[in-house]
Amino acid sequence: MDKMLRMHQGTKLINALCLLATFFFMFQGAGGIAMGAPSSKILNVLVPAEFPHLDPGETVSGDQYMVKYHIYNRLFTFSEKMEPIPDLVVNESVSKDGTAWTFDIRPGVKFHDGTPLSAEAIKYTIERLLKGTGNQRALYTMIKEVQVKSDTRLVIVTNGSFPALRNNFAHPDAGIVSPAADQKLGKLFGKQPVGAGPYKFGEWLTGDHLTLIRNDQYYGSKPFYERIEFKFVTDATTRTLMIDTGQSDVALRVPPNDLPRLRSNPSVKIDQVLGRNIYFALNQTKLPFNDVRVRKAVNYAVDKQTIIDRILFGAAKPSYSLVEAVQGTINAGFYAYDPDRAKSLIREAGAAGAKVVLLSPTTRYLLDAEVSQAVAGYLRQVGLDVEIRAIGDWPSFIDTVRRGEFHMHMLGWGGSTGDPDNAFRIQLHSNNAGKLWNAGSYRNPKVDHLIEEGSKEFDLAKRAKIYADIQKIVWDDAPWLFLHRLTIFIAHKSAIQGIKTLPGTEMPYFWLANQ
Amino acid sequence: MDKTWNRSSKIPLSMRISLVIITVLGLVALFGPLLPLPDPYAQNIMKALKLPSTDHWLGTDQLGRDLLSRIVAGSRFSLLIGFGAVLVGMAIGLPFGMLAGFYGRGLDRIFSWVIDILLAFPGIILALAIVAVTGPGIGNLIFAVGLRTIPVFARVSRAETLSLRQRDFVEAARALGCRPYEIMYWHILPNIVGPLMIVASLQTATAILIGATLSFLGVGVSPEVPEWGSMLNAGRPYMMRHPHLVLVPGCTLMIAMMALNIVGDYLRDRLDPRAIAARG
Repeated sequence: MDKMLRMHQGTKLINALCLLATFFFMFQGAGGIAMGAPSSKILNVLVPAEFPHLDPGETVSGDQYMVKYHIYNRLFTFSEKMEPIPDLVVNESVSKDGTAWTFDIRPGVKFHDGTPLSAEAIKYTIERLLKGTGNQRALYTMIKEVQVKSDTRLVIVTNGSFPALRNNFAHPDAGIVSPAADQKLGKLFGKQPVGAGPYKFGEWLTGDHLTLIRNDQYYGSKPFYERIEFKFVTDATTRTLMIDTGQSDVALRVPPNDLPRLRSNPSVKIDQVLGRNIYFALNQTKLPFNDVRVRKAVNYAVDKQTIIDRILFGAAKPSYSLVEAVQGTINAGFYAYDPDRAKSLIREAGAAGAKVVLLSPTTRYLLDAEVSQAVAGYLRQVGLDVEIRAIGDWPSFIDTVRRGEFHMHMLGWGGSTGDPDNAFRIQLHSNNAGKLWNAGSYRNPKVDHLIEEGSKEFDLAKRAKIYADIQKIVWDDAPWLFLHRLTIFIAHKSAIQGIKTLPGTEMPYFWLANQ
Repeated sequence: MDKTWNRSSKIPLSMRISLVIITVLGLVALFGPLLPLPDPYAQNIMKALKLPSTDHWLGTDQLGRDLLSRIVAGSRFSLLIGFGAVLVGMAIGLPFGMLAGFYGRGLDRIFSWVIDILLAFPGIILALAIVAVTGPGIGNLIFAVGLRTIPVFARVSRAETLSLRQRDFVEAARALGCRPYEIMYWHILPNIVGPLMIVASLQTATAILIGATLSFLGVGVSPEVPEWGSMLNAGRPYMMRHPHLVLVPGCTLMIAMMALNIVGDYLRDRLDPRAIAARG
């Protein structure tokens, strides 16, 4: 009995060796994520939020834009100042009345699957989006007809003049898709996209990573990195640790409270970009927010500067307009922190004690759950009964918003075409009431009319006035609780240069990066 | 009655401390609101992230809420989830197991099959799956965690019932004309209470931990609710410069778990015939 219980000496030795071997391999594995050694030219990027697909028809997040921006190319692209500059287009002209645009495109461009990118493919792409139901359809709804004149020339006819057409064509979702691949893959196209951009789709392991491979047939300057590996890491602290210890090359959206630690690390550099405006959309189809007094009250009730100082660690500025990353933004006003005024407005509207369900995402925007809790605290102080529902998973959050089961929900908007038409139309036009970005169902015929006018107006001075008016009216209507504009921090290895960012979308792109 | 108390009745120190801890926890959970502590939901953003001081004995969190009052309020949730889940488990698992053990054959086969399936899932995965379907909220959480304890209770009561069924006094009761439910209620049930108490105390610890894990993963409760696991999760981004946000709920959880486990181990040493025999 005793002999059986005591371990043989040899067994002990083997056990010890096995244990040692395990530890050895464990620590090897821990460093294995860092594939960013200069010799293998792989760029490792940490991405906070994954997305369901890469189809240009629909976008739910800025991270999704970023990957699409690399895979597809477009008729135009954005300069660093968010102005549209020609990309596929080599020659352009527009008719006198502004409704017919003639574009000559670069000859000889091929998609990643080898098929040619011709005017026919562009027509296919536009019609594909218009036939679908995705939210990016709004990019093309003003297009009446696409005429293919030759392999490299097409004429686009719009309903009335639309000077911002070039901006729309520079949007990351205006990517040109390969008709052959789309027809072959059908519904799966979004999971195996085929474009003609500087990087082509490699592989996608849902929940883990997405790899892009350099397109060696790209007509632009050859990108330095052979592969870009986007790794999905939702936890902000983990991203900080990984960039701090050199396990990755780029980390998106590092939290501001980790900045001192990263700034003291000489091999890490922090880029700062002005990001999106964060706000709460107020549901006007329900009490109490159908009353403009309550909506204004909510804007007076929240101390935005304190939230910025103490919760966001200073990484934001109070909003002075609806979405600031577009041209023509004016100072639309400011709702000062005035809880007494808020209380009296609420009493006047008879909304004291009204139940408000607040939908908050978590880990989607910087410290979103904390901001939501602070906002709830302020609203409770002025007499509203707030219940917070936090939904961590972004697609579930969007689903809940679409079902309308809330009174207010947090969103952020960057202004991804640089032109106010896209932003205002999607969020404020009554045609889009009830859809994701106007889930509060804001309807104002005056604003509708101004949006239509603005989209047609070529005269810059008149345009500026129209959009200024829209901002003033909407600010006064207070369909949202206007909060702040975030400052976004991107950390990367100091050796890496050339990472550019599109302001507003907070989106870096890497085909000009090198080290 | 068939009970075995063993010779030595000196209660070890660890057990005594654990009993004290559990008692304190229970009292705090019951009478927490009566204590002179600030409102656990009251925010004061100007005083966020403060270290422990005379004003706030355990410091404040990222929204300026007092951590001590949040821990106290959180004990309610944790104990509610822990005891609630165990009650659910006992209420359903006990009759299931007893019936399976008593009647045997076909019924036993079916019940055992269901129990095995439920036991096959790791506790957290099963609870996660349930909450994904039912949505967040304390009631759903108790149900999700409780689902995991049902098969544990069922298995124990089935095993005990099987062994008790063959004992003399049960035979005697049957000979005297007792009906099955009378036998189960009067003769079997009192004898499985002992082992069930052991399971209950150990399962309470597990249930509290699973509940905290779910909240930690973000699926349990609203972020404002001071559940310990949820507080752990919320404190993570601040961990590097304000570790007390994580240490406070973490240590509390650890101490509660340890106390419950020590009590459960002690009871098992005392009451479980198998453990007594092994002690020899």
